[in-house]
Amino acid sequence: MSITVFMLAVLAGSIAAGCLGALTGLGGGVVLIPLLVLVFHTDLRYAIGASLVAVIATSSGAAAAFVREGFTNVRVAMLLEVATTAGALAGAALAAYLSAPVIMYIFIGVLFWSAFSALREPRPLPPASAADDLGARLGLAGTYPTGDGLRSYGVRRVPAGFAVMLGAGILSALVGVGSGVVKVVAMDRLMRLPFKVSTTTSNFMIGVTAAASAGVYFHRGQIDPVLCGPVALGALIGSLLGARVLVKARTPALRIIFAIVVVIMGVQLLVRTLSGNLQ
Amino acid sequence: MSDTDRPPTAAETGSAAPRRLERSMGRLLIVCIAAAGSVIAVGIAAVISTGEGNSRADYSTFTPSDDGSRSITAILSAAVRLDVHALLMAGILMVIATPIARVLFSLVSFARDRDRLYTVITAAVLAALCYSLLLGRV
Repeated sequence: MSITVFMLAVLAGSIAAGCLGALTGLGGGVVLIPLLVLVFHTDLRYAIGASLVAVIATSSGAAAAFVREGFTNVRVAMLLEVATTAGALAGAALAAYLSAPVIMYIFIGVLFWSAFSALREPRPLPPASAADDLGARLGLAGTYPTGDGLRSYGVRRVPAGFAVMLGAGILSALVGVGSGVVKVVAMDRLMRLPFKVSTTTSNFMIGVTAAASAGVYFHRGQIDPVLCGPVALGALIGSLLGARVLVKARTPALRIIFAIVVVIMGVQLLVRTLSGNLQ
Repeated sequence: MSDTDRPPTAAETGSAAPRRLERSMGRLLIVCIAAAGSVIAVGIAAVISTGEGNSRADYSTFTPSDDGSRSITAILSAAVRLDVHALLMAGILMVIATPIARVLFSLVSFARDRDRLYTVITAAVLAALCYSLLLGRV
């Protein structure tokens, strides 16, 4: 494949991955890495570097669309980013000691988890009406716009959420995904943020987390300009399309298609890794 | 700026100041990604039109380039001279810098609101990001 064809094909693939990621709310990384490895025969280390750039681009593109609507809780984001960036630096350090197949097995685990959570329609818990002691002392309560005015909410179980976020940061850096699935667990299930607040705050944080490990991978030479340029541009276009134009297309059918695609790619990656043919 | 003509804090205005902060942050993000996207688009067009586009793409083995192409100052000065790879890399670095700009922006806002706890928290996040991008040794 010539560089021209390669760049244009990667651009098209990244638009599709960014779009699908924004529409299902699960990020583009889980689709992009298999695409790069299976279709474009990219070494896993290049694919992870490119995916992190795509994750940042997707997060910034979607955040630019969401932040003005007043859903993002910047304090919660900043507090938890202490955990995710520390985790990301630890994960990037750990990645240097793990072999490509080990990283691939972890990634395949993330793929199947993403497919599973795409199939299970999120049933939002009722948001916490009052903050617990620590949540109140940290000033994390906020408001978000609803049909009938601003509604206030409190934040609970900050230490548990913080600990899960540390794990999300490690995972994000290790396999080059946004770890949106883990972040939603921490913010929805543990800290009981309202669904719309946790989704937009999580998306916002994903970019900061990925930037923390992308810097390390840049210095290791895993961010290649000819590969990452089309990936970044495609992810930007895809996320803007997904967040703004196609937001009404977020249907159950799409989640099922996403799950099927992800499982097929996961099985192919598993077969390839088990047979020792990992590119 | 004297103490009297500083913008009102969140405590003084209720929710108005945070909302204004969010709006300016949204604008900042749009400017950053539009600039990064344009630089990358020009870089892609340049690679394709310079004849390099005809050579074979092969990323199947990881071969890290020499250290020069991983120095931010070297990349930026080469990008100014319109070196196509450096131009692409500069656009990618702008993408990576977008979240850092957002954190910097929050730091200024928290400091302006005299919110000591969150100024410290945000400074810690910013320090981790700068360490990663500028030094990158973990």
